[in-house]
Amino acid sequence: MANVFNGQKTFLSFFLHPIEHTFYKIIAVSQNDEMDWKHYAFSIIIFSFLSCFIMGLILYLQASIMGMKPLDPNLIFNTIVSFVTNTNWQAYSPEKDIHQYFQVISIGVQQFFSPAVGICVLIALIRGFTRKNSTKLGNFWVDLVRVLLYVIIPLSIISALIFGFLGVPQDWAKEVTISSLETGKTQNYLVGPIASWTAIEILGSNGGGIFGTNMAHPFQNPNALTHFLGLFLILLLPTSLCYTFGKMVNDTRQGWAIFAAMLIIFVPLTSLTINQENNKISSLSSLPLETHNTSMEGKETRHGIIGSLLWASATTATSNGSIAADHSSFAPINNFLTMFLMQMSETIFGGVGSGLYGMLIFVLITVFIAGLMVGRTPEYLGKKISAYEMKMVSLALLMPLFLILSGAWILLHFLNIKELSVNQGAQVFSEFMYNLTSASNNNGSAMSGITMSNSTSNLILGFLMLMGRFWIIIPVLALAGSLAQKNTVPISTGTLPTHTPLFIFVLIGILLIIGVLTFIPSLALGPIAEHLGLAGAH
Amino acid sequence: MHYHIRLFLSLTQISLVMLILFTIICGVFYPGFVTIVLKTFAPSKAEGSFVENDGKIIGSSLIGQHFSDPKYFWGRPPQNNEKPYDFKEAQASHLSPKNSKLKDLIQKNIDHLMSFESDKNKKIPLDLVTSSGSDLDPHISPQSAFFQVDRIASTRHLAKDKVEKLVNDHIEHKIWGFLGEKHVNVLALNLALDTLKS
Repeated sequence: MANVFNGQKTFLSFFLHPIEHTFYKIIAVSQNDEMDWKHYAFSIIIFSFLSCFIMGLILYLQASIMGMKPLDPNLIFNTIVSFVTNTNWQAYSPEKDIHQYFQVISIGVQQFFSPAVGICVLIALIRGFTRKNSTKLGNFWVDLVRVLLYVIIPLSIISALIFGFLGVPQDWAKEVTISSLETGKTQNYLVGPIASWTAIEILGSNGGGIFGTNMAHPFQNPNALTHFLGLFLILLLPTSLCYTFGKMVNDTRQGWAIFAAMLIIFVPLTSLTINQENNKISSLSSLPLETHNTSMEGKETRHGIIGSLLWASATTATSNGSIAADHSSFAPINNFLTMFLMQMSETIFGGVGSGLYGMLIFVLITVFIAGLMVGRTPEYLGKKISAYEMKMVSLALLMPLFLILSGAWILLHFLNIKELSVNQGAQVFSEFMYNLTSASNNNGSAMSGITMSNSTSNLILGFLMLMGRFWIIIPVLALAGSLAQKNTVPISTGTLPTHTPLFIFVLIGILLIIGVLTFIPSLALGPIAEHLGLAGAH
Repeated sequence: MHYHIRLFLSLTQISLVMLILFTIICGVFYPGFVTIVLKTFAPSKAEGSFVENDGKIIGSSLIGQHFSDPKYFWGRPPQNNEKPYDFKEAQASHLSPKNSKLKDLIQKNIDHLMSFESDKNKKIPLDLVTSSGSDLDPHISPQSAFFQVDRIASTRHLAKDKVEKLVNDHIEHKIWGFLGEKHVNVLALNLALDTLKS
C-alpha cells in the first residue's frame, strides 16, 4: 500500500495505470499539483457535502419512483450522514424502506468512499511526519482515486467472489414466494446483490447490512467459513495500515509498536467476553435446561457463543459495527466490554484509516506526557511537538468524549428512554449509552433493545456522527500541515524511543486512563449495575 | 475572496464528476460484474441455495422454516408468531438476560416442548427454547435434534434408533475441526424424514 501512495509501481499497475490517468484527465487534475492542509480539508468537506446531497436526493426520489412510503426528512438526514461518515448506523429498515437497487447506488457507493476518505486523511497525516519544510500534503483527488482503484475495489471484487463461492447469494433484486414443506404456509424470500454488498460492508469497516439483522442473517453470513472470512476482512485494512505507516516513515518498528499496543488490549478483552457469556443465571436454575443461562438468545446455532462474541469484539474494536448476534441479549458485562472498546475513541484497530489517525493522536499525547515526565522535549519521528500540535491533538481527542456525554444530556431531555425499550432497569441506560457511543465514534453497531429511530434521535444522532467524523478530520489535517512545515531533529541520546515495550505500555496506559476515567460513571450506572443485579439476584 | 469562490466552484465540479464516475463503477459495474460471474460459475448458490422436492421449490437450505407439526423436527422458536420466519418481519428479541419477559418466553417454550414428552426428567438444550439472532436460523444443535427423537418416533411409529441414525447422518461438523459449531439443518432433516419408511 505504501507504494500506492508514493505513486510507485505495484503489481496491478500494468492495467490500472492507464485507467488511473484517464481519471485524472476527466477531472482535470494533475498528479503533481499538491495541496496544503486547508485546501486538502476543503476538498474533503466539499466532496462529503456533495455526497450527502446526492445521496439525499436519491433517497428522496426513490420513494416516488418505486411507489414506496416517503421517508421522514430526519431519517434521510440521519441515513446520509451515517454512511458518509463511515458510521453506518441504520435507523431505516433495509427490507422495508429503501429498494435494494437504490441502496446499492446510494448507500453502497458511500461504502467505498467513506473508508477511502479515511485512508486519505491518514496518508496526509503520515506525510506530515515524513516531509520537511513543506506546506504540501499531497493531492486529495489523486489519493482518493489511487486508494479506490488499487486497494478497495480490487479487494472487494475478490472478497465478493469468495463470499459468493462460499454460499452468499448474489442475484438481481427480487422477491421469491414459496410454499413451505409443512403445507399451507407461504414464505417470502428477498434475494439481491448480497455477496457484493457484504464484501464492501465488511472490508471498508462500514457495517450497514442489506438485511436488518445484518451478519446474523443466514443469507449474508451462511456458514462458519464466511464468518471467518468476515472476521479476517474486518481486521485486514486497519491492521495492514499499521504496517503501511511503518513503511512510509521508513521505520517499520513504529508500525509494529502501534499494532502491538492494539493487540495487547484486544486479545484479553475478547477472551474475557467469551468467558463471561457462559456464566450461570441463578433465576433460571429451576428450569429443566442443559445450561442455566440465556447464552443462546439472539445467537445463531452455526456460529455459537464463541463465533458470536469474536465478531462482537472485532466489530466494536474496529469501527465496523455490523452485528452477528443480538447485542441487547449479551451478558451485561459484555455490553460493558464492547462499549469500552468503542469508547477508546475507536483506536484499537478502529475504522479504515480513521482508526490509525485516532491512534496517532494518542501516540502524540503519550509522547507529550512521557516527555514531560522525564524532562525532555516531546518529539515523535524526529518532529518536535509544540503547543499548536498539542492544541489540535486535544481538540481531536476530547471531541468524542464531549459528544457522547453532551449528546446523552440533550437526548435525555427529549426522550423518556424507559418507554422506548423492551427491557427494564439499568439495561435501558446501557442501551442508550451504547447507541450514543456508537454514533459519536462512527461505529454504527446498535443495542436494538431500545428503538432510537424517532425523529428527535435521528436528528441528534446525525449531528453526533457528523461532528464525530469531521471535528477529528480537520484538526488532524491541521496537525499534519503544521508538522510538515517543521524540520526534523536528529536522533540523539536525549530522544525518547517510540518503539520499545516500555513506550507500548505507557501508550496502553494512556488509552485506558482516558477511556476508563471519562466513562466510568455512565458505565457504572448501565452495564455494571445490570451485571451486579444479575449476579446478586439469588 | 475571489480566489475562494473559484476554488469552491472547481472543487464542486471535481467532486461531482468523481461521484458520478465512481457511482457507475462501484454502484453498477461492481455488483453487476460479481452477479454475472457468480451466476455463471455457481448458479445455485447465487440464486439463494434453493431446495427442490418433487420438482417444486420448497425452501432454501440457508433459511429456516416454521415447523409446528409434532411429526417434524422443530427449529429455533420464532419471535413473530403471526408471520414466523418471514424476511420482512424477522428480528431478534432484544431481551436482556435479566428481563423477566425472556424467562417467561423460555418457560413457555419449555412447557410446549414438554407437553409432547413422556419422560418429564429430560433436560432441554438451550437453543431449542431461545430465539436466534436473525430469527431465520435454519439450524439447531445436534442435542436439540436428539431431544426431539422420542416425539417423532412415536408420532410417526418409527423405530427410535432409525430416527437417531438419521440425525447422526445429518450432523454438520466444525469446519477443519475448529471453525463454527456442530449443527443440523432442520429442513434437510425433515425432508429426509419424509422419505424414511418404517
